[in-house]
Amino acid sequence: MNLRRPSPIPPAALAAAILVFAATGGGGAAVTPSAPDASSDGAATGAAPSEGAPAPAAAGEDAATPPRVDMPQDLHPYFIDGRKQVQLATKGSSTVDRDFQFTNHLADTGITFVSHETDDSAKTYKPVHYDHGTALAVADVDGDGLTDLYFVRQVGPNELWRNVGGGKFVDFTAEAGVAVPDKIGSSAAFADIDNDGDPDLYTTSIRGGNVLFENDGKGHFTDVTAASGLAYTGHSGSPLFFDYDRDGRLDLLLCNIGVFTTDTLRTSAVNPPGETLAAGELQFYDGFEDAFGGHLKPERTERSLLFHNEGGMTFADTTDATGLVDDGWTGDATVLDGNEDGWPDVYVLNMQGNDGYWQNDGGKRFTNERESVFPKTPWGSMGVKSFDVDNDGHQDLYVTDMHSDMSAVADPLAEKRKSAMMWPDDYTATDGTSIWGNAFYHNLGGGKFEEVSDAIGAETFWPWGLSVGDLNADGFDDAFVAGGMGYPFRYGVNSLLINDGGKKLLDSEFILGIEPRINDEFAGPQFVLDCSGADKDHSDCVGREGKILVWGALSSRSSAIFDVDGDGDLDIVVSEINSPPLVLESDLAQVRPTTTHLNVRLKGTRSNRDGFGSKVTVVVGDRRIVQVYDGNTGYLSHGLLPMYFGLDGAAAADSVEVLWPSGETQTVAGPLEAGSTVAVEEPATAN
Amino acid sequence: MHIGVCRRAIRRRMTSLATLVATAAFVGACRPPVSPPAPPSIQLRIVGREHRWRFEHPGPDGVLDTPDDRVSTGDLHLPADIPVRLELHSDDDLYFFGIPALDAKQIAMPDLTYWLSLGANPAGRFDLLGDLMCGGSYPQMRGQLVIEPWSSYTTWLERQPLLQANASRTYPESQS
Repeated sequence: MNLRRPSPIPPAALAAAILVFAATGGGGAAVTPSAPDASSDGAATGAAPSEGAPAPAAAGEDAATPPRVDMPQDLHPYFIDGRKQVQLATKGSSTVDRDFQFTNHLADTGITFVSHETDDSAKTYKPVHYDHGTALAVADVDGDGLTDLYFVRQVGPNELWRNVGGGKFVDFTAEAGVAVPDKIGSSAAFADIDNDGDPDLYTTSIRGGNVLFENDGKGHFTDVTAASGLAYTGHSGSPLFFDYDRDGRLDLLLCNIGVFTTDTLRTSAVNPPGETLAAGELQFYDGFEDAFGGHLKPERTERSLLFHNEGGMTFADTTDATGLVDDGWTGDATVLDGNEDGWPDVYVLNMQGNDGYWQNDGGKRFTNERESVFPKTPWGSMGVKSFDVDNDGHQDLYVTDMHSDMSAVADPLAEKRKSAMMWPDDYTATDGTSIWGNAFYHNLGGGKFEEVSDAIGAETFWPWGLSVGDLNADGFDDAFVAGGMGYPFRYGVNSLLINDGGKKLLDSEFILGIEPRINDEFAGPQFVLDCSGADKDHSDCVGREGKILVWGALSSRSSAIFDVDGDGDLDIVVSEINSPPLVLESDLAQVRPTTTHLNVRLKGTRSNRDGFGSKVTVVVGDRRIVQVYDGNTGYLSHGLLPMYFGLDGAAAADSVEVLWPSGETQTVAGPLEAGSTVAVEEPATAN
Repeated sequence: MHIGVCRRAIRRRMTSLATLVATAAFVGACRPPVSPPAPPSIQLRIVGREHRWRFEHPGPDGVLDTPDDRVSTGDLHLPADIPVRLELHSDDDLYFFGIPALDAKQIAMPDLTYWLSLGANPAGRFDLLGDLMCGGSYPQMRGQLVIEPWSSYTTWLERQPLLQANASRTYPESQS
């Protein structure tokens, strides 16, 4: 008998457990087992009953919280303290500023969102792409100058949280009309599709259909999918908006993963808290048992699609016409003008094979130049970000590789190494052209790149998405890499890489308080099992009776870096799997008041209104700090954020230079006072 | 010849013949059964199902998918000094199969056939790995590879149950 088959779940018990978890900001201490002899199970540090010992039964059918059982047995990572000490010992090796801390302030924000994935990622776990989690998109939806948060959920409605200032948020989902409650959500992107000055929204799903919303400028959205040409239904990942033909309207590359589900519908056993669906109403397509071999079955290919913006919130499929025909298993992609000819090229991830690099020929055709420009790419590419690590004016490329790290059990103390790839060549099927881990391509100029991931320190373990931002405001972008697998795997750390002058990315998650997680909370409640009833054959019920609440390792998927509380430094919001998000607020502005930065907001006129594709250079003395604005906020996620330039303590910037997608070059002369926001509007006519 | 002498001679000869027959029968009974000669190579089928391996061996006819096929689980037995070709399938999930000591690894996947050639190896015992690809750990998919002389292998094989009783095999043609 297959022990992982679905069975009914006591929804009230699970909802109660998860709601308590959410109310405590993810803390485990409040979820104390009710059974008198279960106290040892409930320690916040993750202590678990001995293997094989029967777990105490719940006090009765009405018990609010069944006793906790950790899966795997000890969710307190034995290696965490050792890694912390090792990393702390390295702090003196660099003078780069790491004298500040991040703290999870979720409980202070008012946000009560809890991510829920399908049962395929929890109670009936199987290795299928549902465990890739969901997106976190950001934008100022109502034009009040504050960045709002949109969380995507697989089971249950998405939620829009409006930023009301001071690090506080209120649930704005119902007013906005963007719940999309009846679909298994995947990703989302904000972009001003009709160039009217407000962020519109496109959400993707797994076989539920994608949805295009038009914003009225006040954060109220209307579903305009039907006439848009974007009503695609499949296994969609990230939507990437960019203007490939530079006509001033944002086009769309819709990343499609691949057919990882069967045609069998299952009713979700999870009862999402606080939503409009009746318990068990939502159905999802059962994942293939062999989903991670999908790249070996051509019939499971699901091509990514390129859509041209025709104006009026309508799009036309130009995939074949442009030749951007990418059949990879693609969750995300990024824009990168690799040959610096002014036309946006596209780097398309493949989570099970070779990536694609599509060079743009004058906005009319794309050609895959991966073999010549990136002869080796990560085998299991999951997250990507293009940014200028050393401010040399050339866009570098950072790609994270999750799936290579699934091939072998890694020593937790050696996670900075590439994977010892154990899988056979027939499975990887890339003929020796793969990197078994993260890649960092340093742009040498002239369309040439050098892979330097190990030299620069870009390797991480079990990585998903990455976001970049100048977290210590020194003029160099840093990176946050979401990590971990979650139930039923051990805990995996999130990574924070501080940029040491463009030469090295320094491991800093322990130094800056990202790890260990606050209060040593490495685990959260996942689901309830009735080991004396419907779930008695579940593998987690072996040797146990009665109802149990299974806890699993916390893990992250996507993130966005922006100034959540408006205090002048950058914070990190992290989307988790089957648990509440993290709101990691920095105290940089408090511990070092001399920190300075400059915000830049773009307004395209001949270019797209958002200014996606613009290259912005802030000049401070003899320093040039370079960023390209692309709306990429993390894995699966895109949004609109003010550009944040750390000034490394300077009181003002000398100027801001903008190279617009239209080709227009514009300079805003200074001095531009630190702490201010520079609004740059593209000239309506060419200079 | 005198008739009496002739009868004694006949009796002696019959006694000798009986002794010979009896001796031959005794010797035959005490000797192990004669193994069919070792073939130049052998092909086995390995099938993953519900996080376990099923090993399908050709019987004395040396050919798979015939009534004399045998089936085993747990440790994998193979003959020594004979090139071995493994045909891998899965009835449900995507599995990893590996023998680190022989630098051999392959996958087993539904609807597809994969092959693994081991060459001819001397007798020995080696770790046999198996797991759900990208999934959790399944100790029951791990065991030993027992490579043994041909005669020992055939002796072991005779003790394994016939496969035909519960065979329901329809596997595709080779994919690799």
